[in-house]
Amino acid sequence: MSIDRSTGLRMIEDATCPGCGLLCDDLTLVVEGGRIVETRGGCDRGQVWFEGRDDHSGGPTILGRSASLDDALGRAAELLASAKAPAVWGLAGSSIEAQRVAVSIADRIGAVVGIEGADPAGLRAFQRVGEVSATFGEVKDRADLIVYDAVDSSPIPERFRERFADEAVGRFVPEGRTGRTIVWLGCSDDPHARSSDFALKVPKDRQVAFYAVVRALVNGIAFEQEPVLRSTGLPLASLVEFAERLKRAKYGALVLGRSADSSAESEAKLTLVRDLNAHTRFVAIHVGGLANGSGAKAVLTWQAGAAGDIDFGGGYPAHCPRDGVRERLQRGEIDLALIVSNGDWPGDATPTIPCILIHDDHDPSPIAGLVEVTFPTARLGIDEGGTVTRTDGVMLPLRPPFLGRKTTQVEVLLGIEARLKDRSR
Amino acid sequence: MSLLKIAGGHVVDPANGVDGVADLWIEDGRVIPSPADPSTRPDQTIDARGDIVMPAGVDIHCHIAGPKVNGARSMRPEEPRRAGFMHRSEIGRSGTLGSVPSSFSTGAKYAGLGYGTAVDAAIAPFAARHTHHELADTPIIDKAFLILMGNNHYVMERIRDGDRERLRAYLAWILGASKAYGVKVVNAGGVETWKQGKGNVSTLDDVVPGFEVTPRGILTELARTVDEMGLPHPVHVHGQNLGLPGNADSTIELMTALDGHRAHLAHIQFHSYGGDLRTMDSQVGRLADYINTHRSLTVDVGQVMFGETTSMTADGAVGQFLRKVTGRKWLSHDVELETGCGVVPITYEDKNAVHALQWAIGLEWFLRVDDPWRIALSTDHPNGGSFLAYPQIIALLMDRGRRAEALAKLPAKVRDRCPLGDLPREYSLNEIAIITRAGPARMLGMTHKGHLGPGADGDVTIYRPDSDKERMFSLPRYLIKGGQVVLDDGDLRESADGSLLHVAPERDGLAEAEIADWFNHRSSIRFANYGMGDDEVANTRRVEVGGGS
Ligand code: SF4
Ligand SMILES: [Zn+2]
Repeated sequence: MSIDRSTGLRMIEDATCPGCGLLCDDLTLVVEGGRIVETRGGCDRGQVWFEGRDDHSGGPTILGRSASLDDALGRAAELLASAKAPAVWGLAGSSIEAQRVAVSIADRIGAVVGIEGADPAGLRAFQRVGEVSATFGEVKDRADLIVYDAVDSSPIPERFRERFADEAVGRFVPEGRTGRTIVWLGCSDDPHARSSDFALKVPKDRQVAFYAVVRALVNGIAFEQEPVLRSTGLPLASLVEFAERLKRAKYGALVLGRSADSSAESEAKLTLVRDLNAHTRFVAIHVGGLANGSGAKAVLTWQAGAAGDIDFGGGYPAHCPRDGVRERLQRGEIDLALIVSNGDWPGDATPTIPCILIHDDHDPSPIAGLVEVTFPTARLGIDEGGTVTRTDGVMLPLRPPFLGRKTTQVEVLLGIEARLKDRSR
Repeated sequence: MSLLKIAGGHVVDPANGVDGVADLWIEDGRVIPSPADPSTRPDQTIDARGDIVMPAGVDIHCHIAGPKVNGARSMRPEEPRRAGFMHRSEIGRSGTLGSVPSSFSTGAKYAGLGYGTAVDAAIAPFAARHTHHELADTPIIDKAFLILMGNNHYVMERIRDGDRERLRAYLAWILGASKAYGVKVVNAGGVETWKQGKGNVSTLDDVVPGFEVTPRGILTELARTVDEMGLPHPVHVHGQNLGLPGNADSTIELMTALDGHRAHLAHIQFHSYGGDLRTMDSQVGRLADYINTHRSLTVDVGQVMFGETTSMTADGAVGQFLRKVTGRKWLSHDVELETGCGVVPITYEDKNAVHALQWAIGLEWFLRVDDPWRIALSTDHPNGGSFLAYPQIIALLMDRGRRAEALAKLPAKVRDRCPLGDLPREYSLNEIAIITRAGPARMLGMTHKGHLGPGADGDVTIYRPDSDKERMFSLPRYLIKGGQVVLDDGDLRESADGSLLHVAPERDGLAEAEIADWFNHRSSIRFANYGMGDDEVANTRRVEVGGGS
């Protein structure tokens, strides 16, 4: 923290932005009174995160009526303790500290846990074949070839390109942009395609074939023109050229936006990157997503052995892919949900089961008025601190300027847990 | 104030030369001399008559936390399906088992084995924050970790420049900032070479491209600096050519290069092979001779056990090699400025001559190092096998009949290429206590661990003697951790939090400003967000750095 000499305003330097999963940690927040009046260094979305309106929607509620924190915690614990088939859902916008407590509560009450915005298909692919990856700084330091996969139009955060990729100067890419070849996979009329050195238009529904053929070419398998055109929609020559380009790179990076890929599509990408390592160095890099989705996966993995869909119902953490919170809600098998999220949740728009909602009060959840108990809480990075995790696994601290002015998620979760412990004594 | 008396047990405390019946008193978490006043009444007494009382176990080299371990868990959901789960109980969290247990299972299983301390041997400082969170969820045992320095860009640049002062300032800063315990070197310069796609280094005098330093330079400068700083644990080294037939020559070279410095050589079994893939044999004889005659070096074994496990290493090249050999799934993760990481499932099979030879070579190491204080029990968990295999290894060391039986079932080649069958040595209980607690604690410079003299931590394991040594060491009756009875007649009764042991060498503010500048230009995160804040880690316990020169 420092004080701006000309304005006398407090400045928080090296602040981490929870606006998206990129978690830029190079922002400066200018603080005046109880407000952040300027956000330096972030993108528009980051600015909105820090300077957006603060609804101050008041304290906890029980059945829509204001309640004391103590009463609300008591009621939440009572509901959780008596639930037969509870779910804990959300967590991707919470700190590691909050996630650790939330999963502990799930273990205690035998809940099924689901992470908002998780990519179960991608997880299955990873569990089958693994992944060759790197931290963002390796892209900056080494990547002379960067392939952006925007085939499903998932956005690649501009700040990733700025800070670690296109123009970035790195140890082995001292020339910056001219030292890097940028390839854009997506729609050719995409404006980003024009800022790249090469673009390939890959039809969304042909991704598996496209990546499989490129991988086979990389592995030295020869193809006829016609079947390749039929299966990928692209002429063989362009795929051969692409495959050669990948192999020629010294250190390539396939950058994947937040994916809606099927597990076959994910696997096709991960295995191409893996096989390229027989020829050169190549890594898959994931970008985007929610603030701390990667943290939620990490916590669930070290506490319960898998990065999503855990059922504690049997008294132990069973991984239950394809049978998670969403599926069980659909089958009517969940009788209570502890939701830690501001987003849409996978249940009915008007919940038909009792729900306990912990949500950041800056932009209230769509179901805030409709649930049994609500806890409006602080906002990550503004009035709640803790640790968040980038999609490359690097964990960063937050620097909230207004710690202590609002009830935090961690406080609510710890309060619930303490009451659950008391009940079981 | 709480006073515990462990009455009438046979105390095996090699560090204090104790091997006989005695009472042991623990007050407020520490061992105290037996009270002079015979009327002193303890708050609690454990009747240990007929039992063996030892300091709690200390694991000097394992992989239990951080992104590499967690990546392995995440990639291998099939492991708990095979190995099962730990159920939630009154006192403790549920968890998963297998070669990479979940954090709560890891703490509980170490405690169940009579261990009180475990040191994760390979954490990228970049991953310190993750590791601290995970270790905070690893209950009961005390924990520490070593940070990976052998492919660190700043380190290599300073060594290239011959700037010893800055190198030392950097180590002081990074150890403190990451709240680490010591310095690890994994395939010095080789991981960086591999990350560049330029193969690997294979001798100590290869030059690391772009950095103009040699593995020899990295190793000796780090060893010297660690010595000069007086860190409790010397430089902890994973050598070159891990797992490759014929690597024994480079291991001798490494030992020779480190001569004159204190150094610990990790999972030495994996570095002790002669021949090529077809003619691979044991070279333990000459390597163990070197250790026997050079007192500044210590080793841990990295014993291989047959069965399913997960290999994991900061040596990215080894990960890729194992992927090629096994054809199995592969997690690789390059960490900027610091290291690589490779994870591949592996099944050690007794029918496989190479695997069987690795098993025999590990045991040969235990039997050939004369002084048990210089060799520590490890499986390089989970690389050679799980830490849960320690009782099996102990039984093999204590009983040559058991060894002969196991050896007879292995491919004939093994008996030709490794003299294990000719070694009659059997470990005594006292020697087992050395290689599992007293020795590793001394190697780590943890003066409060591994012994039961006054002032030592009240970390005690009580075993019921049993002719079946595997059963005896698998099922301790009691674990007392910091004076608290955690394992009570075979049942886990308490799930306390262990401490995080770390060093905090004196820092140099001026040098740090330069380091910050260097870092902010090169890293993908800000310097200010790299180190651990003072309030970020709970239950820390600082281990003193011995002045040095
Ligand atoms: S890219 Fe994401 S993390 Fe970075 S400033 Fe924008 S919203 Fe924040
Ligand atoms: Zn190891």
